[in-house]
Amino acid sequence: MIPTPIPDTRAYALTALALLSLSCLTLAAHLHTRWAWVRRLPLLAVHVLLMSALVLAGAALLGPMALLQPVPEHPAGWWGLPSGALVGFALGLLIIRVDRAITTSWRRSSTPPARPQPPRMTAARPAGFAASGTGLSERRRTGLVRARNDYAPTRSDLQVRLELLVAVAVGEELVFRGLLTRLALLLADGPLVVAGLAVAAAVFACSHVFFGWVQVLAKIPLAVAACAATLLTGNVLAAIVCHVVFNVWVWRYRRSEPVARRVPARGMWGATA
Amino acid sequence: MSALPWPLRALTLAALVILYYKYAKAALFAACRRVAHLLPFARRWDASERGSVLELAAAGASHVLVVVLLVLVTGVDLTGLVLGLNRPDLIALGVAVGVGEVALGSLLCRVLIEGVQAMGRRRSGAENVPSGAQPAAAASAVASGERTRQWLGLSRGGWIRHHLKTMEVISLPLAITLTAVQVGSEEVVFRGLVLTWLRDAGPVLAIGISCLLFTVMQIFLMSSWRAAMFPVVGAIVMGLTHGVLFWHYPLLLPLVVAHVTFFLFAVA
Repeated sequence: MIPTPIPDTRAYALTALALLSLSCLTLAAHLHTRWAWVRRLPLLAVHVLLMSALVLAGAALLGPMALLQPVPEHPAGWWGLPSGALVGFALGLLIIRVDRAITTSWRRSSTPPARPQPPRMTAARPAGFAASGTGLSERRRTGLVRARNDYAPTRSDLQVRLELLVAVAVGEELVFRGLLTRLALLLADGPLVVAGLAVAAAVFACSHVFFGWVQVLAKIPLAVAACAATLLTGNVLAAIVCHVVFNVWVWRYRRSEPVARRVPARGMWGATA
Repeated sequence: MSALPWPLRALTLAALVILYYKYAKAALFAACRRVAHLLPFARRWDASERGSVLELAAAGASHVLVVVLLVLVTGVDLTGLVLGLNRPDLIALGVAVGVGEVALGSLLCRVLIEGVQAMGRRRSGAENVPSGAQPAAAASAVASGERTRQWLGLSRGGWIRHHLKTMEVISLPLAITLTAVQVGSEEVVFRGLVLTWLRDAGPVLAIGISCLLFTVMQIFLMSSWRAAMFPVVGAIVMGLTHGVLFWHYPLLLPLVVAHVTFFLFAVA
């Protein structure tokens, strides 16, 4: 027997919110790859704009406090805020050490950097006036692969202002620990809640794949620590402080790096980006 | 047929899916490629482009026939499902769901590609570095980049090719219509019919079987496992999301809109 359809806008809206929150950095990379006018902004600025829209949508759907205090009726109450700030600072310092240890051990065991890829000869494609009136001018160029997977951060994407890195940290914690934790806790079943929290942490780590595979591994401790701190204190302040401390260290690290030693980001194709 | 126990119904569906999506479609596409050489427009479109447009049109038309056949076999009343025209809010949210699915799918694909590449680099590094031959290691990294390029190139083949070529050569409204008929029929089959017919198996089994059949169907007519990775990962994300949504709210139109949006965002 077919049950009576019960259209539920809220269920669709929450599903869309969960999917877009999980993939917000990839979506920013898609937009960045696809349209030239978006490419004028650094990737992280597009990411922050998308996260702002998601936070606003989440606040409208779940209530503004739901994102700041994703664990409803937590026993810590408002006392969780000052303790969260302290816990977050301590966790941030710890995560910096763990992140450095992972990236350093990976770098030691990895192969020496590759030589630049030799230039490839490809068939010349008529362009401009030469292409007019030919079949090529009438074709729409599609980009399944180009739009999906060839984004690689450039030097300008990586060397950004401190304010932007702090905004990224705050936005990511509001989305991954505030919004997605709240959505996971909405699931009634215990194992489903754990699975939801694990998926959010895993996807947070995976979203750093654009900066290299080692960054996925290095971001797992940050994801787990921020999730645990949020559940422990009942609010996202600990996770935000932890992530901000970490991003400030990243900014200082990149600034202090001698220009001669800075390795440009390697693109998908093994060429310098 | 509805009196059968659900495992037999699941097996019947699996047999029909393999029969149509693997064998019937392969024969249909081979016929389309032969017919493409007989068509006019040789100066405007080459044989591959004519064949691709024909393949997509034939896939859509045959899909509609398969839906009719499955309705007769399963006895599911589709008129109770195709509601949602009066819900523009759900249609708009279907667009957002589709965008979210394609973005999540492409993130997972990228993770897989980078993971396989990193494992390959480490393996080749373990083989090459002890010998102290740096040029060999560098050459291995270049070869790894070349393998990635080949991987991404492969993913434009198989049945994805006729969507890409159709998008390139015919007008956008016509291309969207052809795509919508094709993917709309998939939603009717894998959500509307499969989930409704297997409802008594419970949500986990019904959604699992629907998602499995939907994912397996993506592998057919692709040249290799690597080429099939993109549609398979997308199908897992979409199969689970659409399955859960349809299980609770049996509306097809927003899911069709989400599926079309997924394709347009991925291909256009």
